[in-house]
Amino acid sequence: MDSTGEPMDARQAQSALAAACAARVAAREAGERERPRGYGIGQGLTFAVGFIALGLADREPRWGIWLVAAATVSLTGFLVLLWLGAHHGGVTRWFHRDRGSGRPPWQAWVVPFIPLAISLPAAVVYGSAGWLIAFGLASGADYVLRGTWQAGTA
Amino acid sequence: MTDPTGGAPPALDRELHHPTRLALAAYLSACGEAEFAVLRDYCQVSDSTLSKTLSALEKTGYVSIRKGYLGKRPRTWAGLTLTGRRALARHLAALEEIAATARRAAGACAEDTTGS
Repeated sequence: MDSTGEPMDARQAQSALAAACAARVAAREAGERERPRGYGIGQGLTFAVGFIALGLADREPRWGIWLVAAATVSLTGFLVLLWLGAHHGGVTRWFHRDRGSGRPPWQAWVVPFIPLAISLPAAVVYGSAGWLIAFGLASGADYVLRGTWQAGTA
Repeated sequence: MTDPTGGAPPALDRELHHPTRLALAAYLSACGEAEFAVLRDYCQVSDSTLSKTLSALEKTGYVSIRKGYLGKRPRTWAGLTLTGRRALARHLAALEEIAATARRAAGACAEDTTGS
């Protein structure tokens, strides 16, 4: 007799474990299901436009307000697309260090830092405006490539 | 099941004991949030059964329910809370312990039989 007051033998425990494992696998597969390529492309473009506008606002004070407004709209659009893309298909992903599909786990940690690494030289040469523009372009390209790659492999 | 070692039996969680609840919690543990229809289709239960199950798990604090709209369509999303994730991990560990204990007992029994 277990603590729930109901009898539980090894066979039942084994089948419950198997059911739980199957449920986890099903949820993981549903979360990694193909998403329309448009989400990745839209996210990349809105992210790039938002950061480029912020960078230009720093360089062109005359158009500052309009550029900041454009950046706000674009980055809001990015967040909306991010939200819609994550919820597409009815299951949102959970965080897994192992990304599967033969991709080594270290890539999941290193890849997000690549746009940051690319934009750092621009920050050294052109200052904060250069960093914002380079970071926007690199991250935007990253989103587009990831969206295209996922749509291609899923 | 009684523990052959004489110790306390592993603590299974009463709230996750039912197969549907366990499947639901396990499914939600591998995703951030899942839509009501997806859960219903996976568990192969009726809308009302799933609704009751989710409400019961929400009362215990294992599941969080969020209602929203996707376009004009109302949608219900469920996610496993941190408390729920811990409870599920404990429950699965207890199940594993029951299965392992039985395996050990069966192994010892086989050794006795071959020894005598």
